[in-house]
Amino acid sequence: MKYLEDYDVTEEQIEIIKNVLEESDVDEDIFIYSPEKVCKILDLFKGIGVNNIFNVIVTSPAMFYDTVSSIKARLDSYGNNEELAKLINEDPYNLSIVDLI
Amino acid sequence: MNTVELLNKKIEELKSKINNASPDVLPEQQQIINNLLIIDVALDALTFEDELLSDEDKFLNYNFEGVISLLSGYEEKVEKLNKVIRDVKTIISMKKDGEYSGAYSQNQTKQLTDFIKELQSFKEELTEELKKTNNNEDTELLMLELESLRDEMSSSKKRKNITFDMAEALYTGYDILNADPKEVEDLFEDLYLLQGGRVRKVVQRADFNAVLKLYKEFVSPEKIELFEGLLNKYRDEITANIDLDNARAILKFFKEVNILDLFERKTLLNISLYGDSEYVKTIYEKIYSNPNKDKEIYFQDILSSVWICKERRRKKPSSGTRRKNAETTKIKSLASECFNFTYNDFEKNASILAENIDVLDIKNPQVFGAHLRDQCLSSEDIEKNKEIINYMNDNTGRFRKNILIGRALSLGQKYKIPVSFFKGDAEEKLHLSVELGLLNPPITSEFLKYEEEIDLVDRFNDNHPGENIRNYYSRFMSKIVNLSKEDYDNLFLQLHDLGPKEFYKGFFSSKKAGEGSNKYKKSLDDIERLVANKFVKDWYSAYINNYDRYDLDISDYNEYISYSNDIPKGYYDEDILDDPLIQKLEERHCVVDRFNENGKIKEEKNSSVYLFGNTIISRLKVLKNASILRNKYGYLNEDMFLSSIVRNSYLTEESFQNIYDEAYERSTTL
Repeated sequence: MKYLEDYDVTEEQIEIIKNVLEESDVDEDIFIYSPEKVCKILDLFKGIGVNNIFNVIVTSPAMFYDTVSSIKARLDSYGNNEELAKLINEDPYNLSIVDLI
Repeated sequence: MNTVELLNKKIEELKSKINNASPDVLPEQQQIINNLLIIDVALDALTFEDELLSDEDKFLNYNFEGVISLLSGYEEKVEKLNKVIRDVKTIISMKKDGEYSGAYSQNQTKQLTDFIKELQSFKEELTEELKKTNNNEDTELLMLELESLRDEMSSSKKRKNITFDMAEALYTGYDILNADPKEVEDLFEDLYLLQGGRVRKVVQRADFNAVLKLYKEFVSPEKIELFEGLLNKYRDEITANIDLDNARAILKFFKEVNILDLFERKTLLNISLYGDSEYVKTIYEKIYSNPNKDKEIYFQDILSSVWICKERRRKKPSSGTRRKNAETTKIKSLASECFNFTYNDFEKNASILAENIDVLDIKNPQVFGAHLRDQCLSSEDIEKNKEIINYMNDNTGRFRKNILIGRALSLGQKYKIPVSFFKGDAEEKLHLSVELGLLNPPITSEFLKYEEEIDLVDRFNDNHPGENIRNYYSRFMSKIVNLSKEDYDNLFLQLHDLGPKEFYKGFFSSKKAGEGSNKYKKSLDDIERLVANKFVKDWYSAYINNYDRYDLDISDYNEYISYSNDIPKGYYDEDILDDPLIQKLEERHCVVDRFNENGKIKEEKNSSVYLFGNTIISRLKVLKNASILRNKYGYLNEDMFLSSIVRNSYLTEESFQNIYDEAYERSTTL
């Protein structure tokens, strides 16, 4: 899961993510063996201006079961990427605005 | 060689193999183990379901006498068993000769069940003896396996698979005894042939280098490095289960139809490991026959089972791990995600979830149709709990707004019911959670007020720096709905002993919902004892006339609903609210909540609870139970009324007495 460091997630935060995955019953293997998909999803968030990727992961780890296109459609549904990113940066629970929690 | 001769031969082989299995096992232990296994074979031959022999010919043809006579040192028991067998065979012969017709009499049925009981009790005796002679850990483990085997056999539904289970237990036993598993693998095949002539592919470990070579041939170079990591992680399971020719055929097919690279690594591994090359083609055609279908989902990590699982009955691949290897047993097997739902299950789940997306906590019904596997939930579970879903749909907003933890999340977020709520008996969980004060609690001075909840949230933040509080509660919510019966025992005890405020504090601050307060740690035995001491839930029948009958009426109705396609739309009969007893109950025990919403104090009737002093009773439960009983009998008397209120509730003697007094003072007090 070292690739998450490219998204400004620290080593310490990766450990927290592992714990969160275990507690939330989200399969850690997704993050270990499907990095391309995880990166595509995280790139969607970075692409619209979300900068706290760690919070996005721990707030909605089950989201990574979803497909990339489905998540993209949800982000697009808001209609204003800049504002949405601002809301998610302020409070990752705002992912629920686009039904991602 | 006929079946009986084959069976005897097989037993001799079993004895011989076990006798030679390990020098660590004492001769007397070997004898006991032999006898246990012989009984397993005899029980295996006796298929007895629904109080009738399901296959009388099979029973007649099996040489039970021969099997039992192989046992040594238990002459008296053998004689008794032989007598029962002779009697039963006589009955069957009479039936076949037309000298007797119709169903077995009670006495005859009893003889048959006695026979099984005799064998099972004999097994228990032998197991006890084995315990006494046990002098090392390995034998203890073997004994546990044999006990587990016996438990399996006590379930008639599983008896059809007993040969497989038996073989698996034997495999573990051999493993523990350091015997060569190859010998057992041969035995598996023989046992399967003996069972019904079915040939089953035996477990043989594949060469890991050949496995690596196969995937290197098909997986793209940029993906192979991580793929090798995956193969290494699950090496034991893969080598124990893979059929290289079958895997190659699957990979080749995916390559031919240009979808090989679309699969996530683990999905591809799962399908090539456990899939069937022909079945995979069928699923591909189903998916691709609809040009409008979104296909991306079928390649995700969670959808392996769609490509693999042919029927609802889960097969049992070998974990490939040794009991002694603690490290490897910690890994969740690949098989655990491969046989949970079929393509049709998934499609049905997704469609049912899509229909209920407004009330359930789901985002993408397709994803969560698959994600249900983690909740062990099936479309049948959803159907079974359709009443409750309908009820929630009809009460839009009410539940969402008033879930205690939902309110702790606050700030106008929407609150939906986690899908896992519908795992198992959602109805009972719904009522118990209401009575525990976790769902729609009455907002009165005795219970937590909105402001106090927020205070708890703030306190939690101080204790858990760095963790997103809302994320924590989201996950916590799904834990609540997975509470087990034992958890409820523990939580009701805590509520009783600590009082509501302390109980909620402990409940919120514990990581596992079922644990509750860390000030209250009890063993399971203690909890069972304390529940029996402090609550009178097991004694309602002693106080209420015909309680057992009414209890059964309600169970029967719920059971009927579970399997009926004709599921009523409403949760309870609206007419029941016109019943005089219920009307009085509504007048006296309904609660009006006062709460702060956007800075304004609002008042609203709480539709979920009746409050008797400090005791919460689920209003929905009472109304539904009363509806069932009144519909069945055409009226609702005090006994039915009281049964409807107290059924399944954790009531202290004092609470019960109060409710009891009120119920029987119908014309005056109530």
